[in-house]
This record gives sequence, structure tokens and C-alpha cells, in this order.
Amino acid sequence: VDRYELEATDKSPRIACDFLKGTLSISGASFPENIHSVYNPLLSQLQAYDPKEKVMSWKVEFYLHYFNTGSSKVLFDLLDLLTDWQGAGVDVEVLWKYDQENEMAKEHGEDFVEDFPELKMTLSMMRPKSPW
Amino acid sequence: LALSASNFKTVLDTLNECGIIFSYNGPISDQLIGQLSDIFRSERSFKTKRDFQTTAFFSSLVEQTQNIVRYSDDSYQDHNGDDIGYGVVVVGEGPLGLYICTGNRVLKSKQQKLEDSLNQLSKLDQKQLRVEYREQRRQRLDAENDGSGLGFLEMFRRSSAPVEFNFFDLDKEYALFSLKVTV
Repeated sequence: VDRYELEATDKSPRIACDFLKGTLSISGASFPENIHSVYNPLLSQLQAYDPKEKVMSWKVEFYLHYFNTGSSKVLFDLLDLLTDWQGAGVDVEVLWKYDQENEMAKEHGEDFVEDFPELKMTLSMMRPKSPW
Repeated sequence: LALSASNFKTVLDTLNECGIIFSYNGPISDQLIGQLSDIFRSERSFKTKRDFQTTAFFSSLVEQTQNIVRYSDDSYQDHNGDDIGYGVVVVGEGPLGLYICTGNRVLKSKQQKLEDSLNQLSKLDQKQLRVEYREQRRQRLDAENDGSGLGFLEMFRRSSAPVEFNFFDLDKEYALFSLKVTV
């Protein structure tokens, strides 16, 4: 599979992953009824994927307005996996977008930066007001 | 005391005195949490000027109700295999802001541990809560750490007033655990 895509609902994010281009984007809200059905297909494909055989440069983008604690653990695992790639010589760039008034999203971004010092992760402020 | 059409005013007065805008008492599933979130995200005609469209309100509502689904000791699985926890959800407006108060039965054998961890969280300031959240997120789940901790931490982080909790003895086996978060 070269691509993995999941359309957003008001409770789960849009996920778009292109395994040939080396791009991953997760955006929207994340408090799905069944967290495993939303993230497991992506996680298992990423775990099975060996970037060294395909793309040595990945751009990953997060733009989440709200996510629950369950999703926050999944995001941690995802960043952990990207850190492993980075350690294996893959060039990973992570962009964490947040809206100006969304203190929660900003703090999570800052915390992830601290949690994964090996990862090239940049915070970027977007719109002044968050939709929620 | 049974509710009747004639004493309904008394019940309504009590609700209004407590500032209660919304209340629910029954089975809670992940699906219901989604529906509750829809109500508060779309409903702008509640008789309050308070803002429901904040991540603090939203996050506390989601985490408090999810804890009931996952950890209530009054639970079962429905015919789809979905987890159901019985509980109470009350949303209201007090002098300090909007509040979300939830209640569910817990086994008394678990009460002490829960009470200790909540007392521990009460002692932490915002900075310490943030550090503790990161610490617990880092830890992999095991039998000792069932994941409820992160939800409680989130509630304490979002609450603009001290989080209140109480255990009320129901019978030999169970206590009513109530939790109030103000945002």
C-alpha cells in the first residue's frame, strides 16, 4: 500500500499518509468512539514500513484542535516510532500546528518537543482563534 | 418521594438553585459521549452566557464521562460488545464558572487507592500537573497503571477551581464516587 487515508469526522481526525512521498498529516479533532479502529491501521502500516527501502526523508504534520488523553498516548507512540526512524538515519521533520488561543494544543506541542529531543520538531502558530 | 406533576416545581427549583443546565442518569457509552459533545458544541441557546466552546469544558466532559465508561464498577458490555458504565452527568453554572459533575458507583475495596491518588493530585500545582502528565504518558500501560490516571490529570489541569471529589457509602460493597470539575 502506497497511501493510507482516513476522512475526518467531527470526532476523529483526517489522516493522510503517503509512503512514497514520505508525508504524514493528522488534523482535526481526536476523541473517537473506537480509538483503535482510527489509529491501528496507520500504526501497523508505519511499523511494518521500512523507510530505508523507500523514502529517507519524511515530513510529518500535526494540526489538532482537540484530542483526548487516549489519543495523546497514541500520538506519543507515533512520535516514538518516528524517533526510532530518525535514529536509524531517516530525516524526519515534524511540524506541530496550533491556533493562537488554543493553549492546550500549544502546551502539548511544547511537551512533545521536550519528550523527543532527538526529533526535529517545530511549533507553528496558525489562526488567531481556535474553532472550539 | 415520587415525582408527580404537582411537585415537579420543587424538583425544578432544586435544579435551578444548583444552576443545573443539563443532567443525565443512566448508561454511558462512547457513543453517548459523542452525542453529549454534539449537544454542547452546537447548542447555543442554553440560558447562560458561559462559553461551552472551550477546550477546557470539552476536555473535562470527555475525560469524566470516559472514566465512567472504562472504570465504573457498575458496568456491562452491550450486545455489540461496547463498554457501558452506569453513571450520572450533571452540567451546571456556578459562581466560579461552568461545572461538570459526574457520579458512579465504585467498589469500596478500590476506594482508598482512588482517594489517595486524587488527594495526591490535589496537592500539585499546574506546573507539576503538566510534568506528571508527561511522566504518565511516557509510561506504558500495565496492570498497575490502567490509564485512568491520565484522565484525572487532564481534569485537574483544565479545572479553574479546585477539583472536588467525594465518596458516599451506599452499602457494604459500594460507594458513590462523585467528581466536580469547574472550568
